[in-house]
Amino acid sequence: MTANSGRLFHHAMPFVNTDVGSEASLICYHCGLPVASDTDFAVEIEQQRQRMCCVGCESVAQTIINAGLVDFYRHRTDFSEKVDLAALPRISPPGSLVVLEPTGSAPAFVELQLYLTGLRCAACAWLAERALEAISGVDRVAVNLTTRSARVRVDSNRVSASTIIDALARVGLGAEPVEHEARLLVRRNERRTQLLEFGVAALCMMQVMMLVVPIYLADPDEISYDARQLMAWAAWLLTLPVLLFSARPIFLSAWRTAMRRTRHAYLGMDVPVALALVLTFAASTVALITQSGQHYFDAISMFVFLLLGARWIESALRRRTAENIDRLSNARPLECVILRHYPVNEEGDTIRADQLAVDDVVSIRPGDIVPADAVIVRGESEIDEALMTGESRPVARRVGDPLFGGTVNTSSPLVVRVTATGEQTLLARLGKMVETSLMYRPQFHGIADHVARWLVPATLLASAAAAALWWQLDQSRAVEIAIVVLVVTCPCAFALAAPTALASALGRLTREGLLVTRGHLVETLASATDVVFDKTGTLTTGEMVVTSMHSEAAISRDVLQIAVALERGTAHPVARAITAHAQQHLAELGAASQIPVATSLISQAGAGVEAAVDGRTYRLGTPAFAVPRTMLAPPALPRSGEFETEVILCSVDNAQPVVYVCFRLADPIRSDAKRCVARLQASGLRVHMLSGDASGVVHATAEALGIRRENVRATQTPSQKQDYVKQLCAAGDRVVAVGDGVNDAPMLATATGSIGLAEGSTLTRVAADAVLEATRERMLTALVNAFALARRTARVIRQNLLWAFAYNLIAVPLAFAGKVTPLMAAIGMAASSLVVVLNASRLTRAPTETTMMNGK
Amino acid sequence: MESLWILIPLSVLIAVLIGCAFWWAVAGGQLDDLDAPAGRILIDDDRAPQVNPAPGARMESNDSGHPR
Repeated sequence: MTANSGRLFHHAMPFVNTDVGSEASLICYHCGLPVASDTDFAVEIEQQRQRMCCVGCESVAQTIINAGLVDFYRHRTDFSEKVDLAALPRISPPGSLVVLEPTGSAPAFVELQLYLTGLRCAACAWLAERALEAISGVDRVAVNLTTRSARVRVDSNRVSASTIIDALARVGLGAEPVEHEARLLVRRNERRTQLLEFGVAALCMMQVMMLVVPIYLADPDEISYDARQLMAWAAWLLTLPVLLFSARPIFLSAWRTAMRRTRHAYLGMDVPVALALVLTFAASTVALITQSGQHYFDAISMFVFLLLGARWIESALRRRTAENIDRLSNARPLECVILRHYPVNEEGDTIRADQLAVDDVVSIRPGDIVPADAVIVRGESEIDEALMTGESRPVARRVGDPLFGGTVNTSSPLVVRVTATGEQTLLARLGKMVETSLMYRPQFHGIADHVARWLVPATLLASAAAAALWWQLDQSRAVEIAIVVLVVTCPCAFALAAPTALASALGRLTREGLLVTRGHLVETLASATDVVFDKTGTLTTGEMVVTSMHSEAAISRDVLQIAVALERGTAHPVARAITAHAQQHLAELGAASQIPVATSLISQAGAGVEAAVDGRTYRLGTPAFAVPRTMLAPPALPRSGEFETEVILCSVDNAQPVVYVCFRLADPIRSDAKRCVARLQASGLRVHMLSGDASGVVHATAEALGIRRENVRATQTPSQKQDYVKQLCAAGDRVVAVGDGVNDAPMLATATGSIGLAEGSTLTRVAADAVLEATRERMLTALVNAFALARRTARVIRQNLLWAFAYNLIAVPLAFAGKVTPLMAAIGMAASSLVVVLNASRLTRAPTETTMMNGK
Repeated sequence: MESLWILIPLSVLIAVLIGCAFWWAVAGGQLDDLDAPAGRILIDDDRAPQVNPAPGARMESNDSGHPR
């Protein structure tokens, strides 16, 4: 949500930022978002004047063109990320970068590892490499699109890390130094091992097939006996690496499941699979050596290949989520300024934040993140505690008040004394709470696990029964029949039923913008009965925006310029919203650059600012603060829509105070929130909303979204939210929780299934089973699609299991009767697996946007 | 039919060689990024980028002359 698109002198702006459709004809050339018709940002690209949506996109596009990198626009396959205007001026935040010190004249090469954000396609990777190579002193650049990271080798005498990050920001890419390089290495090695295992299985599977298919197809006397033996032994040899190397993870997890050491419900199928692999291979080898009966090397290698393929997709997604979590959290600053001799003198030393100890005195500038739990010793300011409470408005804090690590100081400098660090901070304790909840959450059992429970004994029993039966009838055929029964009932189709469906669903969900970390989520979504939303930042955008401006007279450019002059210096969200709104209107009037200077600025926490501009004194803030008592009554303003905050600009000079303008601000509801709620309700889900905000705002939002009043709770603390979800779960409901803040994390960890927002805090992303990564405008649409897709996936899994069951129902009696030849068993097995895989692959193409959840 | 006695062991040998080559490529990091190289080949690098930085941009001309 950007500063909104509207006219200057209106009295009611739409509260909800909807109607993308009406402006869809004109989209930003850089980021693909709608361009407001009353703006004029553009860059000439290849003799064409291309419109842009904002200054940020414009400046980035201009930089790309100026650097001669126009190829980027030719080859990219996706729009770029919208450039965050706020990120541009503070491209290199002090204290968060490793600045490389010059060590001498000889080139001293240093390798930097960076996480990149905004990488969308191969052209973005190319752009990043080109932008960095253009800097003199950069020796080598390697951008990895899969892990979305870059390795840069630079001459530390000439280039600092901030230069690198700066250059990337100028072409619209974000970069953060990698903090846990060891984890990156572990994941890289894990990925390589898996790829190798999968590749070996694929190679050997193809070779074994080539050797075995002729034996199946040829007439009995077409291939000589010796040649047949040779081909069989070659197949045996090629199956060895599949079994000994590629299938290793299957055996390992089967062992762990058998020993009950794993909590992964998804892997429940591994035991029957491992058993089938070992028994089939043993039986086939015996058949080969004794030169009697049939071997099934092709079945073994193909089965392993298919299983590893499904597993590869799943773990690629898991790795990507792990990377997301590793990316620097903004909840903890790297450095802070410690005042060692306070109050004797105030010489500050910059130290690493993790070296802070209790009772250290720290100086916190406006805009800084509080490094640890502390208590204020001097100063008063407004603290953005959204991370903790979800409350989007900063709260006033003065001497003696506690501060929590991870919150943000928005307005004026503070001196604080540290009361708790590291594990003892509230933030860390919330993290603990999440961990414990995750540990005690009832384990989810998917359909496949229920099947697995009886499949192993059933298969073994069937084989044994067959052997016993034929021992009576014909002893020479007893072993052969037992093996055929075992192979025919081989859990191939059963084992593949869920993983293949889940793998293709996971791939599809990723494209839709939902990154699933825990595999059970898909089945949980499909069977959910309740959805619990957080309000701030989830159903709303979580950012203050000016929804309307009111004034008795016309609003002149002078008034807007004064407002900007007063608010420019503060990081307070309300101030930022007003500055952005006023700047945009000024830009339209062509007067954005003529901002007067405000002097003797005084800001009062929780109220507003007072300052002098051109010899007159103004106040901008809450009505109680800004409108002086001498003025009998503030002018009556039209009431319109729902707003959370009212901010008034008023001159407070002696005689005649004048109210110039009244800004109304709100945290706007996401454009797709209403439709999302309606669709979820239409599909039979109960929608709940919990919020830390005050009751009035919460209920108004609920009403606007059509959420029933009894399902809405305001002024909730994190543990109250958790209790609410716990109660629902205890009543037997399957609850999916959706949230973004740290205050939602306990609730997410308690729910049956949970979804966090990518914009949210790190802790939320850890607690959640999946992370919504869609663009902001489609965030909730992606959620609705995920629900629909999950239901379809559950249907496909049921179909697959049904098919596997039906196949066995026909094949097992035939095998018992000795009517199944080895060829038929092999073909039947391959065909049944293939049907399952093909059925699952339907999920990757299924439509979601239009045929919504009604067709359950 | 006799040719099979050479061809089949040969095919197994080739499969082993391919496996080794695959191992070498994976261990060397050639397959660490499966997404970008496929698209990057399409981007022409024929035209040298004309370096003309915007005021304040830190993109200087590439004087180190490194390959690429």
